[in-house]
Amino acid sequence: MDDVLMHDSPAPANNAGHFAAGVALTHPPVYWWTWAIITLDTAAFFSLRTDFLWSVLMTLLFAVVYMLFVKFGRAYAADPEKNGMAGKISDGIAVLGMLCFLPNILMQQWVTGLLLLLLCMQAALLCKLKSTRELYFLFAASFIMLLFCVANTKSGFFIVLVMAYFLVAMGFLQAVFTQTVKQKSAIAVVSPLQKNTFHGAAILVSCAIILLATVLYLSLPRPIPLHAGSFISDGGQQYHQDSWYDEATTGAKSKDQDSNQGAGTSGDPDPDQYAGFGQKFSIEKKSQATGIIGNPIVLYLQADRELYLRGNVFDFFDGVSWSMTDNSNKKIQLKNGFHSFEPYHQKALVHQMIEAAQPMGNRIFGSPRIIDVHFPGSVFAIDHHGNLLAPRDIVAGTRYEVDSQVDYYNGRFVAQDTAAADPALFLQTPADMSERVHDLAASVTRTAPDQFRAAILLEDYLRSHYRYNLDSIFNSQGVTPVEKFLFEKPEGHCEYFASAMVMLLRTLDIPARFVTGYTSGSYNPITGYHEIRALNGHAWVEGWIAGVGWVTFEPTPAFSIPQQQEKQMESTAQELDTYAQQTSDALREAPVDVASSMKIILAEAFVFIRHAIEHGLHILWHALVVAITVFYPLLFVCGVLVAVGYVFRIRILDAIALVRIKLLHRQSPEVQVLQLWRELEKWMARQGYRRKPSETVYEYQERLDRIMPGIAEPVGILAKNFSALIYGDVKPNQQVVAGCYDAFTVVTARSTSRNA
Amino acid sequence: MSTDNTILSGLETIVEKLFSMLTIRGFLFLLTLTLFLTAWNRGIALIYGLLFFLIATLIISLVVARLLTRQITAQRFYPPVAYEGKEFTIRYELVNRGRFACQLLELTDSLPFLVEALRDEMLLVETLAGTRSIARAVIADWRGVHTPGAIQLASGWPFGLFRSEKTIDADGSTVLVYPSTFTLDRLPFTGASNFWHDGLVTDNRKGGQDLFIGIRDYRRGDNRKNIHWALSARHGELMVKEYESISRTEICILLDLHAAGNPGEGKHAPLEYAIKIAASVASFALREGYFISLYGAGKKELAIESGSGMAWMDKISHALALVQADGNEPYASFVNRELNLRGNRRIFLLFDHQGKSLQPATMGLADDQVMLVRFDTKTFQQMLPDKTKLAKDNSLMIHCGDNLEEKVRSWTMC
Repeated sequence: MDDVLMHDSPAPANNAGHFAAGVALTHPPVYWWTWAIITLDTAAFFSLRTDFLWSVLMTLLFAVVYMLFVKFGRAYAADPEKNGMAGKISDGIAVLGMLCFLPNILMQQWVTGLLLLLLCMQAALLCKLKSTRELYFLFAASFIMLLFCVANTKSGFFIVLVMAYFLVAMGFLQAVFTQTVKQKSAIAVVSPLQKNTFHGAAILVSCAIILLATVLYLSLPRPIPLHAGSFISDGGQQYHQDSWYDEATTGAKSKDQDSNQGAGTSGDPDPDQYAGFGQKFSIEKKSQATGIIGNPIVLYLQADRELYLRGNVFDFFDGVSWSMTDNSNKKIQLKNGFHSFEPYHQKALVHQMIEAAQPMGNRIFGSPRIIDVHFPGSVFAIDHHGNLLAPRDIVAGTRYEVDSQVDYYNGRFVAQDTAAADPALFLQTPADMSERVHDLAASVTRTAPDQFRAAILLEDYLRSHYRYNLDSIFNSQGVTPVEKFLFEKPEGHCEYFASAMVMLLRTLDIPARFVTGYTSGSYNPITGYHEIRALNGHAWVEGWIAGVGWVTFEPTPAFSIPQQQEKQMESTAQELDTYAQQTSDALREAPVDVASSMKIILAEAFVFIRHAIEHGLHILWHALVVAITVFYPLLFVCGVLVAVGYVFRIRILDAIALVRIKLLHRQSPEVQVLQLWRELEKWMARQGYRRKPSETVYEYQERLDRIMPGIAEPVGILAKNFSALIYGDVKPNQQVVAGCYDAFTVVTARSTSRNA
Repeated sequence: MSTDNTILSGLETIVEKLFSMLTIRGFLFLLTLTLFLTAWNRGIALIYGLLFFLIATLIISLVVARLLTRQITAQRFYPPVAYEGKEFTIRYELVNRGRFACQLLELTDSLPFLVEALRDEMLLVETLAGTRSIARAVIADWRGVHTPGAIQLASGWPFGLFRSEKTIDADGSTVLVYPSTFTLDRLPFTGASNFWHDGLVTDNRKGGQDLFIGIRDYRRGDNRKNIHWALSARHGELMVKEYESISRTEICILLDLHAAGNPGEGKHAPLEYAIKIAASVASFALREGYFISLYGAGKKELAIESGSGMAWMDKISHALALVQADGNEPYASFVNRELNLRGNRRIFLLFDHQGKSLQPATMGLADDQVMLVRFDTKTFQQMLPDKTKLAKDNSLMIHCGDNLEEKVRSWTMC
């Protein structure tokens, strides 16, 4: 049945696709998609700033408020004069946004301030939403807000929010486009029966976009980050201490007890933190880190390679505890949050962006040797080993950046921070240490030509003859009975190995020091950050090799020394696989809470699915290989047949058509006449004379006659009967059908003889 | 103050211009580039996620837009003849041979006979799957032979970021639009019955009785004596016998086709007005049983000899639909030539485009033998009306924009 259309008003100007077009909004779904979009970016905002439960509650609250605003907006769009209240509410929200923004700026919480401003701005726009331009602005504001949240989140689950946002954004763009097109057209042909098709197609397109985006996301490698400029600080912290600042600016040494340690720092680490980050840690005192539940993330690191982040260096070991001979440090003023130790350096640097996820001590972790520091404070300190300290304990959310000089010697990282000015300081051994330690060191390194080779031999010896025991972390962390470990019970955690190697090196007159810090943890490819967990706290060894510097050694077998090369460009799928394995392992290492269990389940599920796919592909590949090797004669024959079939495809298809024609006799006369004409069209199309879409049957007949003289009559018979049936509803009798068959036979015979 | 205003309005213009250059697609491209640079600089994987979503959106939009219109064909069907101002139907047959339904298909048909505002009007088909036939009622706005242009099919679905367009070329067939007519109750002359022409008597009564020419439907005013009762009974409606009068009155319409004598543009040219009046007079006169002839000195000579009956109206309408002001001969000269050639024993419908340049008396025509329509050409040239040339005789003065029906009817009542 025809859709009958009548004139409407003349079409409006076709400029609705531009931002300049202030076209009134008339398509109601536009408002609801807009509502969904800003509800989702609000969810992103609260997910960033609060925990899960709060973010859900606040999002629901805001969703209801936005719903009211949408109603205001629609009423305002319909009649701005009559619904002036919406305008007043909008202005009020805009003022509220400014009021939220300014205090945050004063507190240097730039990101929070901007996000609150954007939140209020889009709410204000929603109240007065009446044209496409405002809609586009709102969309832009919403996208910027999402971008801010994405840039600041460290949670991989945010990807779910991003996907949801894009699904809604697709609906939004479709609604805006539908609104634009409908306004452009004065006449619309709507068929209610096909409404579902419209939605089905929209869902199909959305699925295609998500699939393509996922494939691109997982398969495309990413370039190494440029790290131009620094991150906006949003910790809200300004690390400052008057005495430190005075010392940094005037050089006057304060007698204050906080002078070396910083305000509010006891020198002892946070109870949840690894004990090795204090000023001194005793092996007699059991580590309080045994209370760690769920192995939480303590630091986020962004760097282009795996690194050891150094926190502390110990030089004195009394057989019971490690400590520093000299606790003094030098205070340095930060100018605009920045300090460079070598302003005109030309060295290759490794950039590290670090964010504290938990309250930390006052150690500023970084890979040695640090050249540049971006830190949200006015002053910091550097000890005589090159480690940095903040004026007070670092709180969660603090973000800083450091650039470190990278030097390698035979694939080993070399810390060029401080020279062993007094080698004797790093040759100290406990007074009660027995000779058998020296004997062991000497016997292991008897073939070593130099100090470096000797250290390598000792490292290999420890890695190969001693067993890493994870349980010991919880049972005896902080206790380093070196001799017992070396000669009686050859298993332990990293402190055993590091302490033992330092002692072994020192007995060989190789200056060595005990270093604590963090390994770079597992790399989360979704967020792009290394997740450093509490149990990534580690101890390793630095040995002074004359002419080289402090070379890093890793005697603990469960750890491998960071690779020299930058992170290779890998696909996200590969990285996800590694991450899932590492996360699962890391979380299993510690007592498990509910959140960790969920993460383990997810990680395991990913690994399972990935392995299932890999296994499935492997089976398919194997089947293909078997098929090729076993059935290759059959495949060869098939290939030949396909090639021959392609060469003679027209003849084959003609033959098949003739078979179809023979089978037609069983059908009704109408179907036979119709099919005969259609077969004729197909036949001629195969000869290269396809009927044009705008060509009538008679025009087609004339064209064919010009091309193949003499077939006008038989084609005419078919055309006439086809037209009579289609347009005149004249039912053919058996005689007509027989005539059509004859005509078809004549046409096919003539075209075949012509080709021959 | 005024300087400030100038600066502000200048700024506003610049901002508007910038916005007008920025489309949603341009915005998304800019956003994609920004996201890539941000993601590359910071190495934040989630920003890569956003980036890939945007890239996927752009790619799928492009592919879907291309695929949707590729398999669509359209055919247009319309009658060969239409009447100006009257509605007729154009039927489109849209076929989507593709696997997927095409959404929000925009069909723009170039129909030159429509009002300018509707000429390139877009027709939106929300969903097209398989074959769909759409009948569109249109009103021809302008007489003449019109060749509809190509059909443009376009779709920007799903997001309007990319549009794929397809042109279905026109087959070159034409629509002939006959001029519109308005209703008249009488002709504006009174003394015609006393006038002899070419040995035949003028007779302004309806169909004569002299020569039977056929049977037709009864029309208001027909003589009841002519009703064919037996046939009427069989058909169930009144039928009358029609006779051709041996004594006849002929109205000769002489059109001014002098190119220089036709100021104005489009529908608002004196010739267009003249054609409407001529068609209306001819229609009325033929219905009343008069004979009508039509002449004009265009590039191609226009000569429709005298004829009567409603079938003759088709011939007159056809000629009037095609006629153009493309001649070289001044109207006065043409009228004189016609009078010399064909004699003056007829009633003339004359159109004076030059104000009062045509004087019937000087041509040997009686006042009641001439229906003279004058055009105030100044108004057609968008100038003030020329009051000095206002007609004081029996002629009808037409200005640009006049309601012809009202004016001609009041003229005939005089």
